Amino acid sequence: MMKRAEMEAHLKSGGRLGFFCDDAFCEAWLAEDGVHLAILPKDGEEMEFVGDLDKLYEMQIDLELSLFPTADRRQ
Amino acid sequence: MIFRALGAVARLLWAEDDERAIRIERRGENDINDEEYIEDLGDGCFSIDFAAYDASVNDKIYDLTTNQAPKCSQCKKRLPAPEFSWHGRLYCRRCLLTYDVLKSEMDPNLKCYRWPIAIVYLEDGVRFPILWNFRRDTLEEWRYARRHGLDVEFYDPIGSKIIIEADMITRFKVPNECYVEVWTTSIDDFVKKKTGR
Ligand SMILES: [Zn+2]
Repeated sequence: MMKRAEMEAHLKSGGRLGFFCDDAFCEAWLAEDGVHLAILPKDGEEMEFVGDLDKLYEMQIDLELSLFPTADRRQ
Repeated sequence: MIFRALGAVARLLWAEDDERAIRIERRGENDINDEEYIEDLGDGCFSIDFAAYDASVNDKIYDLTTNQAPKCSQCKKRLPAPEFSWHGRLYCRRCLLTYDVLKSEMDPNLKCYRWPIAIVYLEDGVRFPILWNFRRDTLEEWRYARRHGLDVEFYDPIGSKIIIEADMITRFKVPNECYVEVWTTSIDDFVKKKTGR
């Protein structure tokens, strides 16, 4: 489980956080309008949402996710 | 459930205007660590989905004999069993990663409120948790019902109605720092549910 401050520091330094939720790969990063979250289901279209750090943190706790730093797959 | 001891002084209040004074107990520091409360409340986690609650409560009466599996907050089905709990709402595997659910649960407008829980004691020794002052003043409601020989309505921590003879109640206990967490639905979701759009 990642601490809220660790998540914040990593995202603010430009890093991304990846995790698997059920069978989807998800990735979060920080943009000007908030924390973006991309969901890539195994079958189905990619979805993108804008939330904030609290919502990402609550998601991690509620859904028991393991977050890890990822390389920017968009580069 | 959030338990927090804030150090309030233990005190006992008596309902003054009632001929058979009912005891309202309020306690402070470490009240929730008392074995008595742990026994009363268990260590389970309660939450309320207000949207689902609003839709269902009108004809719902508390029934201890019903022992059904929980429903998914989104599709309202009991099967497949909801495996995920997110902001106190249960979701099945099919609904969790859908656009509507994700958009709603990731919405920064989603806020957590905490609602106090009290314990009702009956004369036969049965006790159960209720939402304190939920929708109406619990004590006023009880006093009115008792004076007029009526049943009184309470709501349990998941928002189901409990109907009981007012006369059977001997005591309310109101731990100071015992709450259920209630998450709002997002504004969009709320509007959609209310307007059907
Ligand atoms: Zn479902």
